[in-house]
Amino acid sequence: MALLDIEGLSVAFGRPDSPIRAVDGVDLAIEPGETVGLVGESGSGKSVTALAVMGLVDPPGRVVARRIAFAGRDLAALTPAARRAIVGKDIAMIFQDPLAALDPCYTVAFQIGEALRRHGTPDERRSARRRRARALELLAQVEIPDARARLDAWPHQLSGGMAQRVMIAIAIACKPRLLIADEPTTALDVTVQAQVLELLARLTREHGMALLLISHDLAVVAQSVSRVAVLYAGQVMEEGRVPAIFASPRHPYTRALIDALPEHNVGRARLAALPGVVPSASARPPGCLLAPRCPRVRERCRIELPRPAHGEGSVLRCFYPLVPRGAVAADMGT
Amino acid sequence: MTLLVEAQDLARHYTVRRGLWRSPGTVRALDGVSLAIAGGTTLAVVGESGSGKSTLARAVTMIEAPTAGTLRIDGVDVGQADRAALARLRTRVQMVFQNPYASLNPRKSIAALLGEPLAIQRATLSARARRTAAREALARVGLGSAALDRYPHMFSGGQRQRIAIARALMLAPALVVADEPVAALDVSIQAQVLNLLMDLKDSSGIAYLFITHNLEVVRHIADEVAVMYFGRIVERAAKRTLFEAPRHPYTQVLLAATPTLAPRRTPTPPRGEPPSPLAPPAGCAFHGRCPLAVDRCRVEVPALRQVGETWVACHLAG
Repeated sequence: MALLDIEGLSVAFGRPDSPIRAVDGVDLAIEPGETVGLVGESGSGKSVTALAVMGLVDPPGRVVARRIAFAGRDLAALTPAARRAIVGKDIAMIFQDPLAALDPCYTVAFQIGEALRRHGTPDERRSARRRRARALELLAQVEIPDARARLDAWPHQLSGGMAQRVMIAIAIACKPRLLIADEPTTALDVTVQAQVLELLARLTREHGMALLLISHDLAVVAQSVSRVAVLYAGQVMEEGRVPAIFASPRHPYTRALIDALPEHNVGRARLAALPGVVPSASARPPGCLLAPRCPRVRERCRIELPRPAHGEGSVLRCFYPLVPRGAVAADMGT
Repeated sequence: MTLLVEAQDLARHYTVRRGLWRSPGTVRALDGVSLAIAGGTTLAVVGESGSGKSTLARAVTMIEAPTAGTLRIDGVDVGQADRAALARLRTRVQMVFQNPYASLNPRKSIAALLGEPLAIQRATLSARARRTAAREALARVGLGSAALDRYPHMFSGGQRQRIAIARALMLAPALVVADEPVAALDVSIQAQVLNLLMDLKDSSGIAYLFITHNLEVVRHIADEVAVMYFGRIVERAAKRTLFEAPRHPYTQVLLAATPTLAPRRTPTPPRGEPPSPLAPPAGCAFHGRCPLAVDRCRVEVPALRQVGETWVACHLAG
């Protein structure tokens, strides 16, 4: 059974008669211990998807889903109190800007202790000394040098990389089964980014923790997860295994994202840029959302919205997909 | 041929107060940087936060005077130039900033934004001529003249960056200093803007000082690359040389840490984080994180010297 099972998730903002659809019918399943990436450009709905899972979308935002289940329990059907018992314990989340996520008024030890006081073992909930000992253990686990001295540090005394390690320590304090990391390295320098990604990989491996990594950076995702869903304007365009999805993408949008990377244009004078911009969430084209920008667009794409087609470990939402490398050349669409 | 930009031992130190009772400290944001840019070429400066790359940009654009060293633009010593000469030099160097949401005044129309450099530097020009020039600049960055009477909030991030580039082109500069011009943009938009910058270079022979933290972008746009660490250039070489045979351990670490799409063995992340600018380490600033450091590195600051076709500041290179 999937650890996290999302079916038909939609999140809308704005007035009900003219909704702004940030997430539009997303399906996503994560198995225990699996690492999954969610990539997309800004406004594609990747962060809102994560917030909906955490139950952090505030009114006037509206979350509708056929199913959001965690370990077999339907999160949407739970009382707020029962849901809070899961969120923060079994599902934990870290954010892009760690210095904004930490409270500047409390020490590192206190903020790690906060999670333990709420979700920890009975021992940890009772004893401040026990919590402090556990906080020290956690700081060592996230490889903070001189951990004992850092216990009583304030957030402003931490570098960005150090602060993200503290956030990770808070997140893993109660041994979550799923960690959602929303752009965890975007604010960090490239050498520190490599360290944090390595740390996340080690923690998922050692604790059998599942990871949902949200990023705009294809390369970061390619290095860190085993399966990827590509989001565009609130819809999953393609989902598949790494590295196959990057080696031979089927969806024109995935192809375009890869082609736009300087890495893929070495020696060429110009980058292959996708023309135009992402459609705004309030003014959607009638057919396929990519149609106005797609190099392979045909008449049908402008009229009809393609449905997601599920294959083995893959999903594809396109009438005229690219032929996978090595397959017999056959135009699938006609 | 005179070089467009020639910097000798540029330094910019800042005094920082550290509370009431402690003596003020000095941050050496830029600490003896020498570089040269020929007309029509692109020098990319890479480095992490705090390496001094933005301070270098501010020095070259004459926004801030260096505390030491000389800067020559078109062969004229900026530190010795009088007001008239400086005013002329400023038209030769223009800048594009990282965040197009912050660099365009939200209360000015695009026509006013683009006309402003002309109103200041070419005061004899009529309003109509300024508008015509603005329209031409917009066309060069791929925007229609309908944009003239709109305001910045009506444009997307990529379009705003095009407008910022158009503004930098208004005075037909010889050098555009671009400080992380695509860092705030999505990957598909980033490609559009990089293409535009390269087209402009081809069509009008502009030179760029291109500041970025992204090595993949450098690989695409640069002719020459300078790698900065802690206020100094640690390696400088032609692009191909630098990527094929990086000589400084820091450059090697940076290259290894940059994620790519292609699967590879788990990269070995570098140790530690950059040191605090208020407590600079003795010797080579990188020695605490360097996999190769020896005793000499902890004591003696390595000078930039030529090894093969590369300039490198490392005791062990060569």
